[in-house]
Amino acid sequence: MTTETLFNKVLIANRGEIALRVLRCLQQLGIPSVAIYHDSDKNSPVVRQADEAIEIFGDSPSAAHLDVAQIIDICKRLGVDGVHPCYGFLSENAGFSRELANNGITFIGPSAEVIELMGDKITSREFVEEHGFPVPPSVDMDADAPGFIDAVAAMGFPLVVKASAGGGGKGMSIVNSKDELESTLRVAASEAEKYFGDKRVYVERYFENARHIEVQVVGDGTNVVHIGERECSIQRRFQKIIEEAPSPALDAAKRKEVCEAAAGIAKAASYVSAGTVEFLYTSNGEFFFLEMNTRIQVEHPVTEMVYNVDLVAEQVKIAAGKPLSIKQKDVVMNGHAVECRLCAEDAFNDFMPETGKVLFLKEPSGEGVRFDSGLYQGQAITTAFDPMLAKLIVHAPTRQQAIDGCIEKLKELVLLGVNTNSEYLIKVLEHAKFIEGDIDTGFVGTYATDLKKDELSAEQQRAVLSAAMLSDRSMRLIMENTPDIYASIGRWSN
Amino acid sequence: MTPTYVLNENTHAVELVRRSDDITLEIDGHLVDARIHWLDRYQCELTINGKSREVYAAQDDNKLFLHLDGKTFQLDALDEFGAGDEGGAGGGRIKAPMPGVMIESYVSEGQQVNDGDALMLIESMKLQTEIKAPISGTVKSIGFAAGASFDKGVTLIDIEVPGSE
Repeated sequence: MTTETLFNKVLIANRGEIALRVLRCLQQLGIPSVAIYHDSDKNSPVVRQADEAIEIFGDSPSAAHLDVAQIIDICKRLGVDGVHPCYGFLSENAGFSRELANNGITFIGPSAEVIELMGDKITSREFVEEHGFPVPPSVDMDADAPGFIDAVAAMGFPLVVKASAGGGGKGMSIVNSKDELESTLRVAASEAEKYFGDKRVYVERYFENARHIEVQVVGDGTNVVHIGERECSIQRRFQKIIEEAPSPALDAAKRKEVCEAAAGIAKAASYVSAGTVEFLYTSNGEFFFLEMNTRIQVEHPVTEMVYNVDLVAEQVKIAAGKPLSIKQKDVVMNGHAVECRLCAEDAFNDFMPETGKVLFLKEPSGEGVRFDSGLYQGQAITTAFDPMLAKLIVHAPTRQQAIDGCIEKLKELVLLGVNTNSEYLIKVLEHAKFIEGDIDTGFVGTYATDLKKDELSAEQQRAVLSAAMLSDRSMRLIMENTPDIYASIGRWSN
Repeated sequence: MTPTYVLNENTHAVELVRRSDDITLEIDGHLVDARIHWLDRYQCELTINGKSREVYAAQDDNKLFLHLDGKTFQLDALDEFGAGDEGGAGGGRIKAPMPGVMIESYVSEGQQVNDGDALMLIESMKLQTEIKAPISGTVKSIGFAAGASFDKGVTLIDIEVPGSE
């Protein structure tokens, strides 16, 4: 480890598992850290473990994390010279990046211009197309414009409506017929305006049996390296729930083609920092540019484990002006990694969000196991934030071993107090088509009838009910206070 | 008092019949031999009819959470009076499918609506959902104003169907 100073102090402008992930990196690099938190997160691990922790205020926890002026004020007060935005919140906000720059603070990410270019789905598509990379067929005009509905319907169904400024599956919906179009556009525009402050939407042809394959890139403004692809086809509500690296769909030649296209796009944009180029990959091996995410991704750990890199450390060093430490020739794949997103939801009931409180937590561990979580005992799980609670990543020599490892570790994970999708994730991981690697973004819907909760056996049901009764606080109290000799309670009599 | 639990929407009675070294329980009329050994506040070894399992248990009010056989189970302990359902959903009463926040109501009280009309936009975990009328009728009441948050299962809107009273 070098002793040179990368930053005097870095503020982590986020919460939950990713804030903790970035904190670990800052600690390893010996950089003093600042956590910011809303009152509802005051007991979270990142707040306890960061060198300094400052409360932020707002009408809602999210509003507090989106308050640029407040965050910059904290930076100035504390002598912060770098801000890591993580993902979500201000991570793809060019205005935030500029405002930091105006105050002499470094945004740990790409330039504001690149965020703007790639953050808008319409301009980014145009940019990519101009540079000779493939984009899917689409219509992009003002939704209020006359002829819009007809132009869109002429493309044929199904279609996907996307918020131009969107990302992360927000503001996206599939339309199967002209009848649904109007109401879908209304919801999409409302979501788009609410989350992104920009109600422009555009409509693209939807490929039903396509995969979502994305490529990790890292650039320093001069050079760009690609660090393999991730297969992220297992999604619900356009949000990924299981990701893996490498993709079971690509052979070495195809991998090279897709990865080089991604690096080409990043290079055309003079990309700085870590980024992800997302592609739609059709069943006949065609691929189209979907979007570029100009931030660290939720699923970055699968890449880190397979390629033995630290993407966050790379972001920090590059932001401090260092050149890329990774050379393309040194990017060597080793084994396979699978990530499962643990979410607070009733996955067997249309993924309805669940709320609760973390009453007990036992994290899984072992060789090749990574559990990225910001969970803590006593934490209230509310609807204020995204339902993702933690990520389990397992790295193993083969894909099947990584899948088996995930199943084993999901069973080992104990989280009591809020319902999660753990059992659902296991059903997906055990599915024959998943095991074959025969997956596409429609997987969750296509195999919905297979992905059902197991019926309890009579024996298992008795075990559950016995455990419930014997652990029930009121019963435990009675039993602990009743000496055995007088224990013939209930209706027993000789 | 017979302890009663709701598991996967079914109600089960679990009665303590006898306790000496082993505990005998009667579950839905079926006798079960059980033995429990607590390792700490949350973890125990549970033996049912000779088969042992590692069990984790935690409780929040009347909600019981258990982890065994690699799965998590949530049960509701019913009190003596058995709370039960708070009255079924009426023909035109729409209950919240999840906890969330009211974003916008497209209709107002007294307004006529038709089956399939969009009524309101709600949001939960950053996901917006449009609620549509399941039936034609008159809007009798709207449960929440824009910006108000609500719990799962509460009435979001009540639509009165002519002649159904």
